[in-house]
Amino acid sequence: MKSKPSPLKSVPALKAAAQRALQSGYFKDAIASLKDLLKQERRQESEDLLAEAYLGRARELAGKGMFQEAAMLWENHAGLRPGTPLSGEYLTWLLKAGQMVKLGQALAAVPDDFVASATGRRLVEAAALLALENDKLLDALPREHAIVRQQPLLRKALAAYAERREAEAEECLRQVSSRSPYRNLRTLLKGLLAVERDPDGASEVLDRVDPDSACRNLAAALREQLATPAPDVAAYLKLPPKLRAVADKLKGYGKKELALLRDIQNAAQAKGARPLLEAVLRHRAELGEAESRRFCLAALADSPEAIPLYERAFGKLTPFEQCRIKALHAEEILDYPEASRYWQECIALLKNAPQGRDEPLTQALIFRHVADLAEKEFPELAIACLEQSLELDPDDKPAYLRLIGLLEQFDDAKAALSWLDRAVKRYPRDPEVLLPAMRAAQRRKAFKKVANYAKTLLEVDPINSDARRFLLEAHLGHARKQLKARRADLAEAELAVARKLDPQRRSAALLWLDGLSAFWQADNERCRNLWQEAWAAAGGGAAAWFQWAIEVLAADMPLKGSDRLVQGLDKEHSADKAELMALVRLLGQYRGEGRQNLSQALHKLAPMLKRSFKQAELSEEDFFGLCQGFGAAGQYELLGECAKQAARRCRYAPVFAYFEVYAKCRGDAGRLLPMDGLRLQMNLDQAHQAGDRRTAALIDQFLRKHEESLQPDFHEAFPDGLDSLDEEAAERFAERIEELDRLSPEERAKELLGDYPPEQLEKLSEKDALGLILDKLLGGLGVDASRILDGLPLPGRGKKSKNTKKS
Amino acid sequence: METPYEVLGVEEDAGDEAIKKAYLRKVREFPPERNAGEFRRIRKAYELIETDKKRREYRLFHREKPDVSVLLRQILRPGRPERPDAGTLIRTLTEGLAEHLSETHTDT
Repeated sequence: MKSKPSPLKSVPALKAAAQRALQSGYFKDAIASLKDLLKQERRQESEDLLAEAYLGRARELAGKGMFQEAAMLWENHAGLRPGTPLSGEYLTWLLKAGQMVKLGQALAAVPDDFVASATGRRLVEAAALLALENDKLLDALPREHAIVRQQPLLRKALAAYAERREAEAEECLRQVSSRSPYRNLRTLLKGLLAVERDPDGASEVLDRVDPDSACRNLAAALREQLATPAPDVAAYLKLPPKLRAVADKLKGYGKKELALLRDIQNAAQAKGARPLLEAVLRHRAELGEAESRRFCLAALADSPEAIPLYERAFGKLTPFEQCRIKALHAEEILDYPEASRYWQECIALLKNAPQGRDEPLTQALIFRHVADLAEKEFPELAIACLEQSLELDPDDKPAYLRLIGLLEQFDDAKAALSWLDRAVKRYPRDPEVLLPAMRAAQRRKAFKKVANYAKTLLEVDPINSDARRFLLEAHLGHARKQLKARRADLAEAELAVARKLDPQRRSAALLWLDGLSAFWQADNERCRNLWQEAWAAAGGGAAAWFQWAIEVLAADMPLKGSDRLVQGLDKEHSADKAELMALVRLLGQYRGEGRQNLSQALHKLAPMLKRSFKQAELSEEDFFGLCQGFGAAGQYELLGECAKQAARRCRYAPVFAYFEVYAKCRGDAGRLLPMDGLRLQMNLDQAHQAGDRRTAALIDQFLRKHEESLQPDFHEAFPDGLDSLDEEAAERFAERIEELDRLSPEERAKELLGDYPPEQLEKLSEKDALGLILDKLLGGLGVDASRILDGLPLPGRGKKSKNTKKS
Repeated sequence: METPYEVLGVEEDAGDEAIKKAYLRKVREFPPERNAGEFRRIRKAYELIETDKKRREYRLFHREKPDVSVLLRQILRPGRPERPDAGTLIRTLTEGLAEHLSETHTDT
């Protein structure tokens, strides 16, 4: 078919089209445009561009495996640029296209420096190997070419090797020079000649084949296969068929064995483990009974459905073993609930076994294993497993520690304490047990216990800094108790012991309490000095004042009166970044220790802190740290203020919007109001868009908690005032409610309140907002909404209805 | 895959004492300074089965991967070696030439 003539275009239009096509990589179009252009106007510049387009198109076609076409286009390219040197890629395309005559002619013309290059070496070696069986290539090369001269020698050597004429083969190889394109084949053949008489020597020779040689793969495979008498079957099975055939011959594998191997290998490649199991069972006499049994047993965990097949061949498995295999299979496919179920069955089988064969230790181990599985997804389920495991085998320290950790994680302090006591009884001098025990006792303010544990720990490990700290804290805690009870002498005794534990007077808490003791003894001057020292030890500023206030309040004393003895903060004081951070750290520490009066002390600092949020040099990350600290300490007023300032000062605000809402809800997702839910949802989207995973996770978690706090079915929240509806209206109402049930809380809020602008909603009272919701739900159903308004709970408050002023 | 019992050369019902003895014997045979790899293998095997609890755990939860190559090793026994003929060798060498050449394209 004749190609359609292209419409005549102007020279500038063709030029522009050609340029555009070249720049965009549309080489075919560029070639067409440039050919048309050259028909109208013959210019060197256009010919250069056409040459460029030919080269681009050639590479494009080579990329598609069209090597013959690529080589032709390269020739067109070179034709337009006389003197273009032969390129490696062109020669490669000729070789790949099987154009041996052209390749031979081209090779004859390549300069020496190309032959010395990496590409040149590879190409010449490839041509040399092809010339061993391709006469056309050989004929196309000049007579004096190295390939032509040495090819007959190599052919002779190969034939002599195959026919075991060693001397002749070696003589031929001796004549091959070390610069010959056949030098790597010579090394390979030398190695092969040595294989039978000296395998180690042969391996060394084979290793000398150049890494970028075409002979390298065969040499490496042979080294691998010939290195040891026992074959590396895994590597053998990966060999390409031709390489494997060479290895088979050299190793002398029998035909029968190879047929069996193929059978097993085919079964191994089939889908699922069953065909392989069947093949192994078919050949178990040749494969060995014990090895086949072991293999099949191991394979059952991949395909437990083959258990009957296995049992027919090797006898019955016990019910316990069957369950164990199924549990392992479930673990393999990551079905942990199913795995747990089978492990529980194993335990039940052991429990029901006759006396003496119930193996309590095995049961305990299985319980711990199930706890491991559960901990990944449902850590709360691991608690019961660990408890049961310790009842059966109480001698397992890691299990105690894991259990205590989990109980603390789920805020079951009572159970954690009980297990801690049991752990301490079993491991009374173990630091790993004593440390959490000390922590727990300190939280309960059981200072005597803390001191006893710490002393024991210091006997075992005299330089344990944690134990020293806990001991000091225990005495300070006891001193606080005595100061509060106005027993100054007993407090002084505790402080005296504490002083010995802190000879360098580093503990600010000790100095504050020493000052308090002096204050009680009406020694104001000493109190002033001690508190001055304490102020410096605490780093001064807001954190130091907060420490002082907490210690004074803990002693049941008012701040007024004693405050004239402490340095204090100026009225205009504004905390800098370091002060704020120190305060938040202290807050976290006190909260962890269960200290009282935090809010009362912070209340006094609040105006200064609010001022500081506005003035201090704080980065986005600093604000985040502060918000997190105030949030964790339950200081919602400060959190709200901090988040508000952060949102004003930072460009990117989703995380601070979250903290503002969090503060508004006082950390309780159940209190989330629909408008705030919408706001969070928008900020969640923004966080996702910005790739801010941290904020997205925080908001997502809060919204999830909110969803969980909702009733399982929204309509359950509605009171009984709706039974006066007629049948049709009731049906329509039920439909509306069902539709709402299917929505997420955010979608539900949108559906119910989305018609109203946020500013309007902000101003609505709770009753008005409920009225809007009821109107939406009951509109057109002939129901008096005001009648049932009083008993209707707000969506978002969950079953635990709390009164809030605004909706 | 060898089991830890096979690595240490003990029976599967061996007790703590026998396992410890076998471990120490093996360590003397393969001290870490002479054969670090083998020592690590022996140490790992010992850690898996040194106590009754660990042996039970191994029996219950260890999943031996069915390795077909271990099984086939039984049948692939070298016999009387033969030599491939010249044609086979040449074809083996020229088979992957195109792929081999795809790795570089440097102009002259």
